[in-house]
Amino acid sequence: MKNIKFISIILIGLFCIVDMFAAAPKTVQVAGKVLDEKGNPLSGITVSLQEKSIQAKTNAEGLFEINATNNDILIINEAGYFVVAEKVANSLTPVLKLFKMKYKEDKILNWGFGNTYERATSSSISQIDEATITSNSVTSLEQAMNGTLSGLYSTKNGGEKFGVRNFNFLIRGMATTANSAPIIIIDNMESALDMIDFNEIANVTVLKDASALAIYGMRGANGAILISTKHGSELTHGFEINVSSGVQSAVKIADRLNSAQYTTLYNEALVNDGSAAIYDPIKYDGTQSAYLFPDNDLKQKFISNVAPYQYYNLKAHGGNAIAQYFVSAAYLNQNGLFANNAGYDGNFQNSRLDKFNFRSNVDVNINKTLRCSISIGALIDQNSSANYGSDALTNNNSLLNYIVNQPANASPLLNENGSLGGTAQYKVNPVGVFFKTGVRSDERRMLNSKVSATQDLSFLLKGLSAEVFYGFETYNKQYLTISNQYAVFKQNTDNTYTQFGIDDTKLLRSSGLIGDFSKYTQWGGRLDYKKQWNNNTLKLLYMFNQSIESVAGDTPDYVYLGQSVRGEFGFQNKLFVDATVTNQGSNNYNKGKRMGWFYAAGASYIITENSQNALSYLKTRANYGLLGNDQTGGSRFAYRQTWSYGASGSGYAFGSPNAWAGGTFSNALGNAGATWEKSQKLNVGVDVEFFNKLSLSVDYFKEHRTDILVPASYFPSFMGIDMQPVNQGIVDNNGIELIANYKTTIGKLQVNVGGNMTYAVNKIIDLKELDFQYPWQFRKGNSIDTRFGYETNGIYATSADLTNAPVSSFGIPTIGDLNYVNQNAADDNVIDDRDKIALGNSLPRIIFGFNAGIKYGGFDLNAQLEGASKFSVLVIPSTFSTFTYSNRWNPALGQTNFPRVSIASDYNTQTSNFWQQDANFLSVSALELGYTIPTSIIQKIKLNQVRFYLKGNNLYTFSNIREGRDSEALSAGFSQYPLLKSFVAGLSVKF
Amino acid sequence: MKTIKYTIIALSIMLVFTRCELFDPAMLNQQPPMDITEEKIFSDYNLFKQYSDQAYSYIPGHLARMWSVMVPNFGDEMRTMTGGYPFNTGGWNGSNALVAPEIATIWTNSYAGIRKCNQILERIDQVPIPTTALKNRHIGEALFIRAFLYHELTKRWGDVPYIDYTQNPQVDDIDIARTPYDTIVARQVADLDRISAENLLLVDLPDQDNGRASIGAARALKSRILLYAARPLHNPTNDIKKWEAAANAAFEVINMNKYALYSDYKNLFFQTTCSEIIMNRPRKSFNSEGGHNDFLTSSGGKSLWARFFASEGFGGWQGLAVTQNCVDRFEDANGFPLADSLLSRSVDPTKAYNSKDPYTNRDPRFKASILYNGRTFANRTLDYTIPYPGQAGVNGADRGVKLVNLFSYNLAKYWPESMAGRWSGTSTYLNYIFFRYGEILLNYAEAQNEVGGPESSVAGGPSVRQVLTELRARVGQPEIPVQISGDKNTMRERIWNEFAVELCFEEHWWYDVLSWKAGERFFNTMIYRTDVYKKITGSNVTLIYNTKIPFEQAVFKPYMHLYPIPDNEIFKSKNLINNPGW
Repeated sequence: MKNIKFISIILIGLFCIVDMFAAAPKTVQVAGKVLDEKGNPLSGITVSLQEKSIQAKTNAEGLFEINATNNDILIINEAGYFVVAEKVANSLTPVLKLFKMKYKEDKILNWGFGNTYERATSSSISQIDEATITSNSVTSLEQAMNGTLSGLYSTKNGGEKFGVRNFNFLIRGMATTANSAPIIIIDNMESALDMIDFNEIANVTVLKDASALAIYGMRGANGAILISTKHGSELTHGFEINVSSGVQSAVKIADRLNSAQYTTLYNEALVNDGSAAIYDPIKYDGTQSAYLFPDNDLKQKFISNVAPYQYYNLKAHGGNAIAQYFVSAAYLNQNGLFANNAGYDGNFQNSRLDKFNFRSNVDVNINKTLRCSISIGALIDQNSSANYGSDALTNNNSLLNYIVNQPANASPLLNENGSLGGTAQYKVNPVGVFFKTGVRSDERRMLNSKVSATQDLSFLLKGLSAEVFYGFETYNKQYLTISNQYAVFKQNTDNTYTQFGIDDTKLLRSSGLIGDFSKYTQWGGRLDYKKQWNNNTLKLLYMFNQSIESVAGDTPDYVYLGQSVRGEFGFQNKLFVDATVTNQGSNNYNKGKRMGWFYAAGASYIITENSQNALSYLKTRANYGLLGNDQTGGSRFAYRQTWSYGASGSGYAFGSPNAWAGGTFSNALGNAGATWEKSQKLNVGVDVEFFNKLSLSVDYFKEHRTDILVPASYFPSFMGIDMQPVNQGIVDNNGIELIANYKTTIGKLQVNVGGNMTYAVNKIIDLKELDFQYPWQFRKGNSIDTRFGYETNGIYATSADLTNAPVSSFGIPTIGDLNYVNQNAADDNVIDDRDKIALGNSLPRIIFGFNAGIKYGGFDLNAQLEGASKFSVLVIPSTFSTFTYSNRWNPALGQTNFPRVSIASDYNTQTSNFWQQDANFLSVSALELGYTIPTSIIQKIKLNQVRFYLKGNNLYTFSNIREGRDSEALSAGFSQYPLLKSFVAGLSVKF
Repeated sequence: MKTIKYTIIALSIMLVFTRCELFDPAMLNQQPPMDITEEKIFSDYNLFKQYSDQAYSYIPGHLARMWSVMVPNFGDEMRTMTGGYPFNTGGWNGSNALVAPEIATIWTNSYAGIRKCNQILERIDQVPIPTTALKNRHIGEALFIRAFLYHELTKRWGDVPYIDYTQNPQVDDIDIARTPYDTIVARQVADLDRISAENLLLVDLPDQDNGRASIGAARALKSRILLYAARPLHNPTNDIKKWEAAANAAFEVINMNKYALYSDYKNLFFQTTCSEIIMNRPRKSFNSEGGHNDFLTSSGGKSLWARFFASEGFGGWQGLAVTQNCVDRFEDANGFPLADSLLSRSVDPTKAYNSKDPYTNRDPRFKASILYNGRTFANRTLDYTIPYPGQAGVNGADRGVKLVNLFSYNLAKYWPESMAGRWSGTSTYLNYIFFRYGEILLNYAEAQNEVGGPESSVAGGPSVRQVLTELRARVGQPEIPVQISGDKNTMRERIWNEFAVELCFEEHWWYDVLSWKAGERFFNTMIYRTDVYKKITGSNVTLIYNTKIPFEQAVFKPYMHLYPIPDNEIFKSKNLINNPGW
């Protein structure tokens, strides 16, 4: 309610502002006409007034009417046409002529080199814009990137879990055993994705090939994700309010065992381990005292089906010829799924996330040639949870794990006398956890700012301009813990109580900075030269930049500096060639090896365009280059040998009683030639369009990665000293990417359907492995993500099966155990590391996404699907789970498909193909239904657009994983906080 | 005009960015400061001293170095409650991660320490050492530690590459073959003799140097090395000269007249120094929950002490227990083994073994080393009983309810009674003993018995029987009855048993059995445990002992007397050939 009030006040305030504009004097009605270059009227064209939120549309005769004052400027900014701007003069009927762009309607790409036309690139690039981002995101930007950006694989492990935003991105699979994560760049500065609100973003671009990545030098080989925030424009102008509210619910939370089932299983495990049973399951049938024989369903008592969610965002943008602005403020609130469904009294401590985002991007034309920009982005977010662990985010996992896995018979929640139940073994009581432990809250703060200046140098040389920029980002994380303790009591048979722990409600506070502190500074500049003549274009670019990152506990700073030169030449606007050379360096390497050269060259040719044939557009392109990856996984400054002064344990003590004698010892010998990974990338692609409606892109990519850091394993240990890893690994990665889009309009119905698919497979060429005894032990020839483990051959069902059964390094099998295949049976009768073989791959070979949208009148419907296939997961059900209960080895119950239960033995839980499952899935990741109120109605109340929508996220996943687990987040809902699906209703108002 | 003005401003900004130190390639030269370099270590005595002292830490000197099992778990002395440890099942080899702390880690750590000793010996002349005595000490320590580490290697692997220089992978041949065992022994003995001959180490250590090597330690190490060299595994022809050398080496220590048996066997292990300890690893004092944590990087010691040793009755996890096989080696009060109980009864029936009351009339070292049913410990009577079959009741506190102690025995040797339970207690010292006089007496007895039988002695020394009697008298155990130790062969049996009893749980038995080549006899066997039934008839309570319940069939194959070289090392080096069978 409070929020609604707050919003209303803002709305009223905004109406007043709008009224002020509207009340300006000397308004005249201007009627005008819009024609195409041949003089034919154009209908449906939007005409707006600069700096004002007034718009009009042309009718079938190309006529429009608009209220304006003298000196207002009429603007038409229509895709595919050159922009038109004309001043209103009294008593004149403006006739505005629109000139169609000569070439195929073209997308402007925003990437590292600045803006460029997509037609002019040799690169394969995926980009999503504001519309896709806002329609697919509920809580975070990452949701919109799933499946929409071709070539990008984002494992959502933890990603849509409450509070934990931990998407892992890969671009076109993996090509290294080290870090394969792409760099993430927001407005030309390296940053983190989860710090930004999705409403601030203009577009997200994924760069995948050499030509696009060459300027990133030794950091480019894994690809890049570029994010551009919105800027104001003199062409459009307005306020926008987005309000959405809804609920989130768990995709899956594991079922619990009741007391009878738990004790039965526990007894069986004890007996299997050779011990005696300790429980009497019959007593848990409800006939006995519930205090002495409790049966708690914690899931029913403490988990809610729905958790509320709300989001508010206010944006304003606009400007004039001198200054343009974009400002945005957002607030997000999510509640945890924990709830008090059992009716206990007290202050229930649910988990909660509050997140504030703020951004201001201002551009000022100081004069006709100098333009400055100042951008500021800020984040404050706060996670809080019951004080059950050491960090609010991981507490959510621990709490869920506790609720799902705490035995039902551990102790009564409340004793007969009202005190909290507990035993010597189970001193944690759920009522205590949620009502009496206090609260833990973690707060993150991020401030990002950037200034830049662009100077047009045309007076020196026509087409020349220069830009400099300076930016910094600071980040820290702090915590506040308010801790209490509680006592639990065990009711004895004689009705006395034994106490464990103490009650302490002093609200003990502690707070401090968590180790996470970083400061990042970057500055740089560029010189641009552009020349056009006779449809030929020449662009030359020189860039330099330097960055310094200070990380807590890590000395010295991370320093990079680099310079790039890029040239692009377009011949007759059909043939384009580009070349880039970068020289980049890092302080991490040996003297003389700190700078490296990187390069790329590409070409593209447009064979057909704007053709009336079926084949309306055809372009071919190719590029090749050398990039680097310096996230090799080794220690910093690996070129030197270092010595350590003995921490505890590595020194020695003498004396009686002893006195510590410090110890100094040498660390690994340095790798003098330590360097970054080299990546040779080739990309060949074709873009086709049929009937101007169906577009297709096909790309073939091939990468050869060398200098991967691998252990210097060939040095024998009797040298007495370790060696730093060496740059000698080689991996190949190649595949195919497909993108298809279809767009059509049938009367009032607009339809678009699209899809993308990436197939990528990597192969280890060499990792300088040891000279293993058996061929199946080598990783060489397999993929980086190949899983190694034991092959199984069913279950030992009879004692006859056990005759001559191999022993293992982790135990001796008995009836009901897995039968592991002894691969080297000729040499020994032991199951050990030498019997592990390649079982399957954990990274999908194929990832795909589909999207579809229809628009009819004011209604629009959008759907987004994503999926992956050709990979497997390892699912080992926990010992005390409903799955184990109804499937474990127990011939008496006719259960012989899964192994026996045990507490002591891990014989059956080794990595083996028995627990491996194919993990194909298809997920409905977003669905949105919207209705936009017709302009004719809302213009009367001086609004531009009012849209209502219903949105769902992560709605349903088709997959066959055991226990209904999610193949990308196997523990979600089992031992970790579940994945969430969201249902949201929202309102978006534009003035 | 204005345009030009702004242009000039913009250009100067660019100039500032590009020319001044903001964009400075020299920033790439940043690297963390190095307080320690090889040059500094060998030119600054303080740094060198720290470098040199740290070499001691490569000697295996911690009961908890393998986290949840101890060396006695390898053989037949102890077991974890779950059994199935690869050293017991025959499932161990050069790549098994579970045994890596005993195989790969020892291999790697020993050579790391050896490299350090080699480097110290090579470069010591460059170090500005204040006095000649100190310089001698550093040389002596490097020679001693190197010899000690080679012994740790040879007692496991036999032949190993003998390296006595600092290897440089860029220059030196790093694919070298194994050096014959006898050659290594000769080098070790030469180094240790040099320590004695040149008085490189002290005989009497001042208090603050407790824990350092001394002349006595060097001689004790030599005694152990030569004894291992004379034993059957490395002396297949039974060359008596080797036994003579071993007996003489042991006598060298005895003849120093510096060391003597400590009267209180049970508390010997909690002394910081005493007459019996020749060399130990000093530790800080600790309380029971603190465990070894004070002096170990990992929490291994803490858990071993507080959780694995302690029975459920003391709040522990009782992860480790003593086997019946070990218990059965403790003689009766007449000095006879349990198998000879008839003979024993004929000597003195009141002191003979009684299977109905198996824990009375036993070698006093049994009570000093092991916790068992009915024993009083830390003001509690230990209760390992279980209800008699068919009778109602609950398990005794020490047998446990949740974590059932199948063996009904726990370790007492390293657990002083003053330390009550798992959670509290006073503090104590538990130094790790490398060499004690008791071992030297046994070394002497074994070697001299092979040279000349039970009544023989080296010139001027005590006889075999005399030293054994001295050792047993300390705890009040009578001398070994002559009926069962009349000749070399029967005496050898008793000496082996004396090693097992006197040095039980002290990381000797497994390696001793291996070097006697007796693994198949002791370790390829059934491991037994005990149930103590509490039978209630009316108001009478009877305890019934079943001490022959099979727990696990232990597997030991002949080739296991020598360890496998870690597979990874074999894969690296063409000239490094593994021991046969692996």
